[in-house]
Amino acid sequence: MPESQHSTLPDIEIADLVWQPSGADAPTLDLRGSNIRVAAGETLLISGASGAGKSTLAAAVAGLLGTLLPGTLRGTLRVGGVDLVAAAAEGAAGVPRELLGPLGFVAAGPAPRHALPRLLDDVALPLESRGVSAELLASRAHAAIISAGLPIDAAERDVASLSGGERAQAAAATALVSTPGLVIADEPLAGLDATRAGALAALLMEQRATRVIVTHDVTQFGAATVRLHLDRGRVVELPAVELPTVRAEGQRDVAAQPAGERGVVVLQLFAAASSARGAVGAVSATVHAGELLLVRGETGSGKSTLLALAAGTLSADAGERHVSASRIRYTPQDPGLLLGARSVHQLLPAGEWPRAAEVAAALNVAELLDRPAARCSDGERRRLALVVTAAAEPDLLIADEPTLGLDDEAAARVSALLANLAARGVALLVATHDSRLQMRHARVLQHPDATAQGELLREAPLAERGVELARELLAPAPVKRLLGVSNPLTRFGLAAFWFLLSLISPATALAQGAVALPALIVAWSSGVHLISTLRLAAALAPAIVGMVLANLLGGATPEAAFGAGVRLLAFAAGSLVLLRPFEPLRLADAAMQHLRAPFAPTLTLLASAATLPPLMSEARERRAIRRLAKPGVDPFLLADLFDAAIRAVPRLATALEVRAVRLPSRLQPATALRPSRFGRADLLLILLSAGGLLFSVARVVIETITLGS
Amino acid sequence: MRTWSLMHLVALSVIGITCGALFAGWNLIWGALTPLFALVLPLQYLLLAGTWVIAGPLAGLIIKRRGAALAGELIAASVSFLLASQWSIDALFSGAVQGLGAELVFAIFGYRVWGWPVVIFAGAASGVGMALHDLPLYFAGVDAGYAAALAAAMVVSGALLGGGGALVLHRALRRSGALGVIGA
Repeated sequence: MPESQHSTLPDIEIADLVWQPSGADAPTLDLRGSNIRVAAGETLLISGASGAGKSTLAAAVAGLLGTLLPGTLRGTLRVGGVDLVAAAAEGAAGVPRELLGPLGFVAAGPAPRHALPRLLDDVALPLESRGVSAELLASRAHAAIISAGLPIDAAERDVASLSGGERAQAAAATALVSTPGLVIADEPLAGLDATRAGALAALLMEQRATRVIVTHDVTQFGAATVRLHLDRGRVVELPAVELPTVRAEGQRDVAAQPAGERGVVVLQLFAAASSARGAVGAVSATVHAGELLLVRGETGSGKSTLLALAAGTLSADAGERHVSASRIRYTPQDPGLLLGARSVHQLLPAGEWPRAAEVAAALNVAELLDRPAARCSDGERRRLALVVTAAAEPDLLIADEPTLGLDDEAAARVSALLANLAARGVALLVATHDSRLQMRHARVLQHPDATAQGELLREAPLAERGVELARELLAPAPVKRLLGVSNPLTRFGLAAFWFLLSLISPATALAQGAVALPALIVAWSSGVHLISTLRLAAALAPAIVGMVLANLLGGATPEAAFGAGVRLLAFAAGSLVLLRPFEPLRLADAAMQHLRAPFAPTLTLLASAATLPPLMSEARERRAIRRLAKPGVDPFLLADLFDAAIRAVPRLATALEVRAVRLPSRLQPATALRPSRFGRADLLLILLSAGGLLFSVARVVIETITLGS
Repeated sequence: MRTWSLMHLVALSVIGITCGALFAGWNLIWGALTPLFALVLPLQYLLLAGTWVIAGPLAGLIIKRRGAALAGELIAASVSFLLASQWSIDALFSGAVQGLGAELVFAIFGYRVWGWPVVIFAGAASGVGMALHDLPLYFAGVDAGYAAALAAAMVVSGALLGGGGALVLHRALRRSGALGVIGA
C-alpha cells in the first residue's frame, strides 16, 4: 500500500546520535547522553540558536543523513522501526523505502526547494511517484495548494516567481499532498505574515501524523508533546532567553531630530516597476540618510521586488529611480546569492576585515569569518551576509528579511546592529515580516500602499511593440488551432531521421532541403521562438560558407567541398523542428509515456534541465549583487554558473528524494498528470518526411535506370 | 566499485546541462568565426574546439564513477541539440565518440587515478574522438596533410581546453567549497 492513511504511524527513537559530515573536522550534531522518544502521532518540536544543528536533526529523522548526504552517522536512530544508522552505515543509496513511503518533508527556505518548475507539477510529483491514478492527481494537488493557503491560480505559476512566503506555503502543500504519516518540517512558517503563519501551523498540527517541527517560533505549536532545545549540536535545558541589551551609541541624538529633517534623501523610487516581476504593481519609496525604513506587507505583496529595484539589481523598465548614495549594499533574502560557498574573508578586501570583525562580534559570528558559507547553517549564513554588506560602511544598506529563521537572541542582535548603523548615519531599507524587528525610531512603510496600488497605464516602448508583432507573426493562432502543437518526440525523431537521410548521399540532402521548407512552415505554425531562429541562422550561414572554403583550401574538389556544405545544411534542417520553445518537462512526459523511459533518471535529468534558466538568472543576480559589493571586480560568469549549479545539487537531490521519485518499480508504470498525445501536426510532419524519403529513393532509382540504359 | 546515489545522478545531470548551455553559446561563436578562419581552419580548431569536450573530463573528475564522463558529454550534447544548433542531431554522435574517448582513459586507469596527467590525457582522447567523427563527415575530400593538421589541432585543443579547462574549473569549484556540499 503506497499510502499511509490506513497503516500505523511511525514512532521515533533517538539516542547518543552523532553526525559528522564528510569533509568537516568535527561533528555538527552531537547528542551523546540524550535519549529522545516520540510516540506515534506525537510532535517533536526542535528549537535552538542558529547553527545549533536543528536542520541536521530534522534531516536525520527523514533518513537523509549518510544515505543521500555524505558523512558518518553513529548512535541510535529508529523511525517506525527502521534502523537509520544501519542504513547509513551500509551506504544505502537514499532513504529506506519503508520510510520514504509515508514521508512528507519541508526543507528550510528561502533557497529553492521545489523539483519541478510549475507549482501544480511539483505538488503532484509525490503522488505520481506513489502511483496515485491520473484522474485523482489534479484534484488532490489543487486541494493541497488551496489548503496551504495559496490562491487556486497559483497552481499554474512557476514556483520561482512566488514570493518567499508563498514558497513556504507551496513547500507545505507538496509535503502534505500525499497525506504522509511522518511530517518533517524545517522552519515551515519562515517568511509568512502572522495570519498566514497561524493558519499554516494549524494545518500542520491537524495532520494525522507523527511530526518533527523545527522552528524559532515555538508559540505557534503549543500542542507539541516533546520539546528539544539545541545549542551547538547538543541538547540543552530550555533556558529563559535573556536578550542582550545593546545600546546604540548616539541613538538619542538621531531620535531627537524631527523626522522630516533627519537627513538628505539618498534614494527615491517613483512608480518603479519591472516586467520581470509582472505580478507586482509599481512601487514608490523615499529613504533618508540615518533613517531606518521598515517595509512591511502581506506575503507576496512585492517587498523583495521593491528592494531589488532600490538596489538596482533588478532594472526598472517603468517609473523613476534617483540615487545620491555612492555606496549601496544589498543583502538578499537568500544569503547564498551573496556568499556563494565562500567565506567572509574571501569575499571582502583585506581593508574591510577589521570592520567585518566588529560587525561579526556584534552578531556573534566572529569565529565564522574564515569558514566557507557552504559549511554554515542557514541562520549563520544570514548573519554573515549582513557582515559582508555592513562591513563596507555603505551610505545605504538594503536588507531583505534579515531576521528570517533566526532565534530570539540573534534577532535582537540584528535589531541592535541596524539601530547602530542608523545612528551612524547609514540609510537602511529593510523588508520584514518579523514582529520582533520593532525599533522605536523606525519609519514603517506598509506595502503596497494606496498610491502604489493604482495600475499605471504606460505606453510600451516602440522596440517592445516590434518584438510583440514579430512574435505574433511567428506564432499565428489560427494555424496553431488547426494543426495543434507537435509532440516533442516527433520532432526528436525527425531530426534523427533527417540526419541519417543526409548521410546517404548529397542528392538526398538536396531533396531534404526541399522538404525543409514545408517543415519550417509546420514548425512556424506551432509557434517558433524568435531568438532561437535568429541564433540558428546566425550560426549556420557563416558555418556553411567557412566549411566550403576550408574544404577547397584543403585540396578537396569543388564537388566534395560543396557536398560538405550541403550536408551541414541538411543536418541543420533537423533543427528547424526544434525552433519551438523547448519544454523539457513535455519531452520527459512523452519519453516516459510512449518510450517507457525509466521514471527516476528521466525526472532527475529533466528536473535538472528545468533548473538551468533559474541557475542562469541566479548567476547573473549574484554577479549584480557582488558587483555592488566590489565595484571593478567582475567575476567570470562561467565560474559563477558552475558554482551555482553544483551548489544546487544537494537541494535538488533532496527535493527529488523526499518526493519519492525513486519509488516506482518497473511493474508499476508511473501515471501522469500531463498526458502526452500525438496530433495533426505530428501526422503532417511524419508525412512530409516520408515524402522526402520517397522522393530521394525515386531519384536514386531513376538515376540507376538511366545510367544502366 | 563505487555506487551511484541520487546525489551523483543529480550532480551528473546538472554538470552535463550546464556544459550544454556553454556548448550552445560556443556553437554560435564558432559559426560566426568560421568565415574569418576559413583560410586557416586548423587554427580555429586549435583555439576553440577543445571547449566542446570539456563535459566528459569535468563530469568524470567531479563524480569519479564509471560512466560519468560518457554520460556527462552525452547530456551536454543533447542540450546543445535541443537548443537548436547548426549541427542538429549530429551533436549527439559527436558527443558519444568524444565522451567515449574520455571514458576509455579513465577506465584504463581503473577509475582510481585522477591526477592532472590523466585528465589531460582524457581531454586528448576526446580530441581523437572528435577527429574520428569530424574528418570523414566534413572533410572527406581534403589532402592527407591538411587532414593531419586538423586532427593534430583537435587532439591538442582537446587536451588543453577540454582537459585543462576541466582541471581549472574543478579547482575553482573545490576552492569555493562548492564540491564539499556534494561530498566529492
